[in-house]
Amino acid sequence: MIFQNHYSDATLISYLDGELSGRMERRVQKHLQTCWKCRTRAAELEQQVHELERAFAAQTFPGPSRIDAARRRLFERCRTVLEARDWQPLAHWSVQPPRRIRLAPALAAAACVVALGLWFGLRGPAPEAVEIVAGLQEFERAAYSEPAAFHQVFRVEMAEIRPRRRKRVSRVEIWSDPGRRRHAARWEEPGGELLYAVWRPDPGRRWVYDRATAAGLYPASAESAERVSIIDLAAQEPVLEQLEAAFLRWLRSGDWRPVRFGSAFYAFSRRDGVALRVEPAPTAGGGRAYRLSALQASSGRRVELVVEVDAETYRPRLQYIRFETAQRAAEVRFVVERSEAVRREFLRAAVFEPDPRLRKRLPAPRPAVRPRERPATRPRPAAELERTEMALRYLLHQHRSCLGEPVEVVRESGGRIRVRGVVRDFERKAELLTALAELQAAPFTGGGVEVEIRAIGELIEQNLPPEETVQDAPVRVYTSRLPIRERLAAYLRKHPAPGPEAEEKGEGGPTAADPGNVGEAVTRFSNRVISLADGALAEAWALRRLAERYGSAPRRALGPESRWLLEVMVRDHMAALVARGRRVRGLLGPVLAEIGGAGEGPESGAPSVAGRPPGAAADPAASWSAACLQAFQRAKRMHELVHRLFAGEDLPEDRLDAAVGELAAALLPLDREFSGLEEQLHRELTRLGRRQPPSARPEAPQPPGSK
Amino acid sequence: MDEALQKVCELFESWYSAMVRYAWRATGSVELAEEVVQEAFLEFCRAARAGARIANPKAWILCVIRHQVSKRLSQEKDSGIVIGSLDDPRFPHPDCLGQVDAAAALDLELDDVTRLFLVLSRREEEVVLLRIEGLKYREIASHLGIAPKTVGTLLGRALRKLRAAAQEDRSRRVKAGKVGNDIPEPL
Repeated sequence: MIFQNHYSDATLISYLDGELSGRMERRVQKHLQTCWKCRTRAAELEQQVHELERAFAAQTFPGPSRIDAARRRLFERCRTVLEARDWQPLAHWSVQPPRRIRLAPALAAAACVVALGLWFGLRGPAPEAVEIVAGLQEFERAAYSEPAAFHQVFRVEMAEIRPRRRKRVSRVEIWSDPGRRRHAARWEEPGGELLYAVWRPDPGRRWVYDRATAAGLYPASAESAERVSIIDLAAQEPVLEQLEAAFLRWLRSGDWRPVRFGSAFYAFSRRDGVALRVEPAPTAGGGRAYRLSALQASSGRRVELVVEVDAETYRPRLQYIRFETAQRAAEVRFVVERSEAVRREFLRAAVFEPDPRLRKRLPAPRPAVRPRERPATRPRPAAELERTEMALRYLLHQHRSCLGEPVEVVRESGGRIRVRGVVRDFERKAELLTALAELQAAPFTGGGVEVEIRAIGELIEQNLPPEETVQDAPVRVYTSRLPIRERLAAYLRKHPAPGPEAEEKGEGGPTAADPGNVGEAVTRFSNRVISLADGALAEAWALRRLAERYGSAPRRALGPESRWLLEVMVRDHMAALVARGRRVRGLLGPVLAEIGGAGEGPESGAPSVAGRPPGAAADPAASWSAACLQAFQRAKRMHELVHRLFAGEDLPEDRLDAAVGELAAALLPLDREFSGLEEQLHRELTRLGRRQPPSARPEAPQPPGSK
Repeated sequence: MDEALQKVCELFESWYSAMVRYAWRATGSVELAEEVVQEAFLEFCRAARAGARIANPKAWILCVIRHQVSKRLSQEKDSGIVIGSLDDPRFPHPDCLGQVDAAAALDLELDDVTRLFLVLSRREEEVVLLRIEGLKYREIASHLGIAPKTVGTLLGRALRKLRAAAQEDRSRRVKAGKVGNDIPEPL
């Protein structure tokens, strides 16, 4: 066949994928035997498939830990869905039928039916819940899609209902301008004193006033880190203090959109096992209204979200969340006092700017001792103190405060625990204080925790020298002429593509394809190595502090929960240290092997770092604290060597080779040693864990005060 | 009930990773992808409980994911918030980055796959992603609502484009390497 047609790419790839019908497949096969062109094209396609497959096989996402977490979450949720027999599945979205009819309620219900019959005889039937939700959403969509700003005022009533009644009333005023992304919110006491306020005059600026932190008015980063929904209030324990803390978090996370009850309600109603109900609501003015409620009851916890809407317009006028456990109950009520759209031309820009009187008395230096300081009247048992201290440490650990931030937990005589330290700014201070306040509200702390956290700004204001220097950012090298620089440049020029040092995918190692970039690539490379070494040292320091504090104490002195928290922290730090060590090695190993020149093999006399041969790392008799201290020594040594080479700590040119060799030799066994230490730690902690009564080991990491 | 749960278990074990990757590529956000896939599995669970008969659960779940993704993306677009987070597998080991400053993290290059896929159209990309996760033409077709033959066409075209892009990339690198040797060192 000289003049023949060829098959298309589509047919060829279908043939390769085995997706053609039998007859067609035979035809193509026969054609391929005779046609070089098509065979080549098929081979090209096949090769491209291989390449793609290789690229994808290198992906590690999502990774086993993510999958595990997802599996656990999904099965729990599935179980909730499958077991929620008492509630109608939400897919049908209708009014709940009563579950059981008892005599007294039945009579009452009959009376209601008669009354309602009369009511609806005149008024028509109530719409189904789904219609009201749709109506509410439609109303909000229409109301808030106008090109205008919105002004909302709510009375917020937070109340603890059980075991005793306590109530606090406050007021929230929110201005939002979605078009220009401006936003302002004020939270006030009924007397008008400002509790918390945030102003965002434009997308790039944000001011915060927080009475609780004694910081006065301060500029904050433009974006808030977390998004909190108003429904998250219900995730708290029904205790007034915790409610307030959660409410503050919600305010803090607010963006420039107005508050919408409908969206919150819809999101809540989509949760598993939520049942909807609708009933007419009493009104003062004689108009009609519906009360729409969504109820979720599971494992001894009951959460009910209620919205009252006007029957004609579906305008919401009240929303409340009520949630209860076996012992406690609480409620947060939002009463709409005002909700209006304001045309931009009538809007003063000043509402988005901080009040001038607040500006005047900028950071007011105040005594920094804070919240709810109570004198410890009774001597507190040691176990309680121990537990509190560990919970505090864990809290700081969760907020990554243990990595180089000078905040410490000190136990003082007289049964007091003091948390003191200096943090980088007011926002960080507010974050830590909020977290600590939540923990303080926990019953077991007994209130004897003193918090003394200051921001650097305050120290400057008070002309006090900070107690410790604050490491704000890792060391960066840009200019100094390092002896290793030239060799590194030569290496990077030789390996212009993301070199072997960037084995980990996406590492985006220094590229030096263009010689103009070489200098930059060298700087980047140095910075990355130094950052990694610094990070490793921070983790190692955290390990060392734990080891020094708890290493010598008899294990029995710690309660089961404390032991468990300690394990979690030690494991976290160890894992992070191992990961960092591995990355330093992966980054530096190939580079040092090449630029070092002298052949440093694994056995070329690695200087013993902590006076112990590497093999001893897995000595089962050594305690966990010894392992931690050893890990610290290793990390410290690595940090020193890296700094000497890459941060130019007085290294004469002629000693460069020796230094490179030393670092290479120190790095080589590092990986193995860290892994050995981790294994040892794991073994020991597991052994310890097994010794504990099984009930004492909580399954999920949710200690008190967890995020 | 156990039957439904078992079915979900099986599906999860064989398809969860693939679906998360698919959703992640479509949304660009890890949390959003995980959330959407969770919701889709849960929706399947609900449907199974309500007694629905689903012939091809894999395609069914994928379809739910796709709808959810497009819905959420449009919602995010309306609300003006840009999806995307630092917790992105393109920036590996976010925990380990730790003190490496954000600028350096953002400086990292796109990974190979992402860079390659820039040349593809949305549909081509989808077809390739689904095929690479092991779906048959028929399944891809039913998921995207196209004919199985079209799948072949799109796949062929996509592979051709990818090949061209890869070649161009390679030749560019070679060229850059040559140029680099001629110019004196800046140091």
